[in-house]
Amino acid sequence: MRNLYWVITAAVLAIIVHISMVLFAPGFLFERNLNRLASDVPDNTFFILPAAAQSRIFPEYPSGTVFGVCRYNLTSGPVTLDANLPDGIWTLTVYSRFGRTLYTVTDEQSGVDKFSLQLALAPSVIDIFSLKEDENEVETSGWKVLSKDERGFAVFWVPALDKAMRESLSETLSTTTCGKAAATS
Amino acid sequence: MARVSVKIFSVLCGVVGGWASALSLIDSVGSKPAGAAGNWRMWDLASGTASNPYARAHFLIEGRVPPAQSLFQVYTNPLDDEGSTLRSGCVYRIAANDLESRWWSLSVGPSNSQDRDSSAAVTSDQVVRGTDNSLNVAVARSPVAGNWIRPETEGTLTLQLVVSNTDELEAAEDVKLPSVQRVSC
Repeated sequence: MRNLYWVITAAVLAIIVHISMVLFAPGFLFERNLNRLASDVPDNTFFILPAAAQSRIFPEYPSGTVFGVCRYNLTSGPVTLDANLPDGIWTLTVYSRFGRTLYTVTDEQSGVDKFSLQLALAPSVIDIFSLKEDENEVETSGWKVLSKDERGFAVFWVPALDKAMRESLSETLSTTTCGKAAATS
Repeated sequence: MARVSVKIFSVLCGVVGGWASALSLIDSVGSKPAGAAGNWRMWDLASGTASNPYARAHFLIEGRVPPAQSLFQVYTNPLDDEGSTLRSGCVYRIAANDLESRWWSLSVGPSNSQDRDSSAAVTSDQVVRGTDNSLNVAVARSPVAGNWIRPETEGTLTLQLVVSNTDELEAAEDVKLPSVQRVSC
């Protein structure tokens, strides 16, 4: 009977460790890795991912590919992403800080290479009931992504024909900005 | 003394069991066989409530960003068509006839960011096709005429195929994936 108690304890512990390893540890490990790779870049700043960092977090993609990243932080208000993309194939993916996909768009879907995307905290249940009808600003402020997580990152992907083309694509993409949204009256 | 040993053993069993089962299931449950032939596996990276936590953990635990499934489908293959492990010392021929996609990339992992001379990927932008639209790529340490991928590391290899998704394309399970044949060792 006493041994049964310890067998059950071991089984419960195994389940807890298993769930932690699958659900929680990967997100924290990933966030720590991302912080290490971009430790000198402040939040809400757009930057082109250096080739060495790119091969570590996007190893499936060729080295000529360009990745632009904005690590957003919504604690002090919404963040606006003003994208300026080269003509051709590109994608944008917005992730939560634990790597969960929140939003995606491609050049085919958007039809434009310049656009604004506002990232804002999703309203709580109380906020939803207290919202006024005219507070839906989607139509006036471009596209809007609501995140339950106050931190995360947006990733632009632009493929290049070769490594030489990477530089010119990086130059165009680097004109993209990411910063605190202007207050609306 | 014996009781203390049972306690320690139970705790160890729980922790090690949970950890080992998580690592094992992250690879097996996170992916599923893809294509009618060969040993390709696809990663189930749907977003939202359809998200497979094991597939996400596979990417995040290594500090990698999981591609959004609405944009890209990721296939991996550590074996040739005979079921043998892919090795850097061997020469392989990867052949496909109907790999149609707006953009795709075939690469060999693991990557090595220090090895800047390697060309460990071939993309749809660069690949040279046969007159019948067939596709042949060689994976070898030494140069091979035609489409050639040079592994960046010694030891066992994994093929990685990233295919961009569009609404018109066939389902990810129905994509005709390349065959992988060992030429020599």
